[in-house]
Amino acid sequence: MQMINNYLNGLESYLPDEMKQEVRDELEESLLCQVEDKQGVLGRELNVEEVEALLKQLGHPMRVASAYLPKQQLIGPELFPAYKKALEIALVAAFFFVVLFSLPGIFSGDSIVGSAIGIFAKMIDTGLYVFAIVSIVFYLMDYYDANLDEIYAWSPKDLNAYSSRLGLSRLEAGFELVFYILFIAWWNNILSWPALTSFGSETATLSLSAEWTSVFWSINIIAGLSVAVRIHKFVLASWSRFSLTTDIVLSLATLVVISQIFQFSEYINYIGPAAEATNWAPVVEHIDKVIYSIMTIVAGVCLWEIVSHSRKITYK
Amino acid sequence: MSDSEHYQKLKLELRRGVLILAVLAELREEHYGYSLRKNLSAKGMEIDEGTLYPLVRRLEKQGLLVSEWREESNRKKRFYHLSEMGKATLKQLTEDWRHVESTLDAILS
Repeated sequence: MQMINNYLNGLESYLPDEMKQEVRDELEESLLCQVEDKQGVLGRELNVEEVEALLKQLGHPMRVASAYLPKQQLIGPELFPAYKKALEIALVAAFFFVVLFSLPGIFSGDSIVGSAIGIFAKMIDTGLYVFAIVSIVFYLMDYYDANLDEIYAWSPKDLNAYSSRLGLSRLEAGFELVFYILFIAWWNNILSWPALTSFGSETATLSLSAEWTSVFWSINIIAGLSVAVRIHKFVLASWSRFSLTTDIVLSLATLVVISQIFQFSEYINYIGPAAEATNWAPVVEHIDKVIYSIMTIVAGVCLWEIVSHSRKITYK
Repeated sequence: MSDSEHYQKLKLELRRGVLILAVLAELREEHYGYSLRKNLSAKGMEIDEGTLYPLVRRLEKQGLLVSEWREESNRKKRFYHLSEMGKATLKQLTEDWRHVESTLDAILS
């Protein structure tokens, strides 16, 4: 019977004080009745294995104790959709402010990659706090049976027109947002030309040509507005007529800037000893081709976005 | 999840609501935990202690059952029986069950 006693002691340890004695007494009585019944059938005392089998059938003390406890989940299924939505909104708002307050650091920092890692770490840190706070609030609401009618107060008239074709993933919008922020940081750092530095042991420097200055501010404005559109997309996790139209306008503006870039006589300048200029000529030519190809791809993406967004607006 | 696991899960769900009705019906007569379980089992309704005891405790908390500790054969036992509210609830649930049963019969046939 020591095994039964150990089992009941274990069970008690998982129960609140006010339940311990009653639950223990009732289960002990039930177990003893079963032991007596089986002994009556077998005509002898139960051996250790048979008592063990009896207790195993009842289940782990922790599981048996959990069946007596009223709240078996942190947040119940009725409150869970509201919890999920609240968590989503809180995380988006927190990430937005983390990025916003980190922007000055990106532009003044020495390393863009270092700044990006720093922001990412800050987002995880803040995200964990937000997750904990929202979870605790909803746990307390669940524990104290918050009025669900108030939480789910709604009217069919207030529902937004929403089409699944206009939905988008926050991951995608977030990725685009980070990309544009890093691009702006890179583009503004590159102002301190020459930006493309020497290769290997060669001392010569390759710099972007002076013609790029003519598109410096237009690229900054387009990228800045693109960040605003990405934040809008990230918060809503959906396209709106406003963001679609703005994106089309930005794509058109980008095409205009690219057509301007296509007219540059050169993209890269060689700065170094004149004697080595001929050695660098193939490298300069290769980089020119790469830049030209990148511009062609960006133009293609812009055209595709204009068509795709126009179709979305028409659909809506 | 295998077909058999799906079946076991659905079977459990189906049984969950029925168990309450069976326990309430059985407690029209006074029982202590083990005798209740044995009676249910004898009538074909197997239920493990880990489910039965918390269930009767919950039903008591809801006011459907009343219990008292008494000594029988030199051992303390907790006896349960239906409260007045429990009797009324059992009557309503039985009517609902009959209705569900006839409706399902019509659907399943």
